[in-house]
Amino acid sequence: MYNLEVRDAHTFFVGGENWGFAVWVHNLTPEQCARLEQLYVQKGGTGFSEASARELAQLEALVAKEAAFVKATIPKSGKLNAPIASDSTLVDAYKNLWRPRDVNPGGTIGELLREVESGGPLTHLAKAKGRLQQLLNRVNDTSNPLSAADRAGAERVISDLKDAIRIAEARATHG
Amino acid sequence: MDDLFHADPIEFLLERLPAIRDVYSLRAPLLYAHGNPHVVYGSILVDFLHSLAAARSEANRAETDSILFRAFNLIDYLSSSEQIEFQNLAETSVLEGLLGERGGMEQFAPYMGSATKRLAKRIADRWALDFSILD
Repeated sequence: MYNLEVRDAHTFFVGGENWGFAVWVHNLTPEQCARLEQLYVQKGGTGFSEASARELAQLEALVAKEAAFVKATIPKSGKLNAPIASDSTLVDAYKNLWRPRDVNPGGTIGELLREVESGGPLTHLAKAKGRLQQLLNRVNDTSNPLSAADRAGAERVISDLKDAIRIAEARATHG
Repeated sequence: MDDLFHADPIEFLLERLPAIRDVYSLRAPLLYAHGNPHVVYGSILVDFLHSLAAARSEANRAETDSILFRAFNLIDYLSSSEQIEFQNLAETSVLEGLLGERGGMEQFAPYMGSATKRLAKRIADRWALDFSILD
């Protein structure tokens, strides 16, 4: 289960009961944001036409689409630990993404998403990008192929890192 | 600090901490770390510092401490930089790596400068670690 909460026209939070944190999501243009804000103000008033209602529904559908995407991708990032790996480069990357003394879920990915949620500095964005590049370089090294299990684990982490980076960069651009 | 503003952080590390050069040459290709400061600092430097601290004994204390203080002087440079990406490098890759292992705070706090301690406290706060040793 997840909830979509619109705090204001520029800030949408998606969270689930078991996630431990909510995630800021956004895929509207600044113009769409402004229009959404306008429609929320008008909603319930006498000037709120059927056309306005349709327009509002379309904009909310865009937000819901992003929410569904986040729902599908972020919980596993936030809750799961590092995959088990035998390759030494993957072991190194996972050890640095998930530190034993970090009590919060999700390691670096979780840290970055919490920074997005809090609206604070994106301190972990560069680290996430650096480790993503390391994993991509390792996975794409055809001279030294990974085992199937290592590859599957790495691809999961790569996907989670890309999602978190995309969401963080969207906030950096629009926020 | 001026030199840092124009420096590649990896070149800066190799220049300021010559003791790490051999380890860097050996490990950078294996870790796909070339041109990736977060891997060089987070993996090669952090593992180097953990190894140094673990091997520290009465017999080698002066020499080991000299390297550790030199390394932490460099980390304090990053931590106090006005460039946020250098601060982030120190905080999220170096200090999270050092404090992320049991006993890391106690082991490395004596070498930390004031800017490094400020970032270490932020990590300790996030991770609910005891940071009284930093005061």
